Amino acid sequence: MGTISKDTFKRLVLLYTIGRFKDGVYGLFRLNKVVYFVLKDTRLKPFGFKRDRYGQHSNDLDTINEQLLSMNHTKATPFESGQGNKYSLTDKKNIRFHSLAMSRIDAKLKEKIDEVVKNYGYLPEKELLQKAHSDPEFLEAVEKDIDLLFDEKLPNRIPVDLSDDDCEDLELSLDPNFISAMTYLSDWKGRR
Amino acid sequence: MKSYKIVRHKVFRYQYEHLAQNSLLIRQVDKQLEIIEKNPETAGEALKYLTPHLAGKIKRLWVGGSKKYRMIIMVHKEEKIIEVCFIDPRLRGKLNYKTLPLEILEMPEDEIDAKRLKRFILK
Repeated sequence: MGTISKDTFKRLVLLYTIGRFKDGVYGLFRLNKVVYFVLKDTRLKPFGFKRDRYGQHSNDLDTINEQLLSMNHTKATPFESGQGNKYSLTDKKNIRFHSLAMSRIDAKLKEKIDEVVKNYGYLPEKELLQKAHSDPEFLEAVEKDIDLLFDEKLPNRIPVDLSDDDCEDLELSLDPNFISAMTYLSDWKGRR
Repeated sequence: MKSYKIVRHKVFRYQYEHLAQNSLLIRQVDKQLEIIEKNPETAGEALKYLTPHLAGKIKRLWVGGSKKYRMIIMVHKEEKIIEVCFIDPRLRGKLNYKTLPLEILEMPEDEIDAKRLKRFILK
């Protein structure tokens, strides 16, 4: 059995979640809300959430989303209105492995992602907002004027029922520094 | 048919220069370099789960006995070049690229500084 770092796990969770949206994720707002509903009752919490002017929001999730974009695992397509982006996978071939990795780490979390994306992923924005704002934990935080909804809860290394080599490949393929360096090196002509 | 040319990145050259003479590690590195020379197209194992722009281009070979360090090579298929990029100085199973200044691989070779290069020395 291998292990992966918590940063790799965060990237995997977000990549898998984005991949579950058949027609891409319509905006960061929606992605934040969906991931909040996934994580509010799960054992492992790859992202902490706080209450801000956007409702349930995770800065960490926004950062990881940018990393996925920078590594070219996902792409951002602007909405016709010009305000916001649709996020989708650049290559759907790897989703089978990411799905396998998710089920070998935390099958319940994977099922929860599948369920929440199916039920909330494409709700009209108004309805999604209404659900988010009527969430009992959110209402309690509003009432008590608490900003933190829940904190990140992850060990430093996460055990995965995959071979060491698969874990290392997963780790490298989701490492922004490695991917950035390798992308630069891959352009032989451009470097001359 | 044009054969592959093998080139060494500055980071790898530095690492190689700092390997102890006649050590097991240098012998294994030489052996892997020989394998790359002889079988440039099949040497190494392609890293998996990469996005299309890198898929099949990055390969790894193991050196240092019982799969200790990973040696990363890049295949420039169009140019028929194999570039030996670097040997990861951290042991297998101890990946944490936050502490390795991989950004030096994105710098022009004459701008790479010794301070950061030292972090790549294999102990």
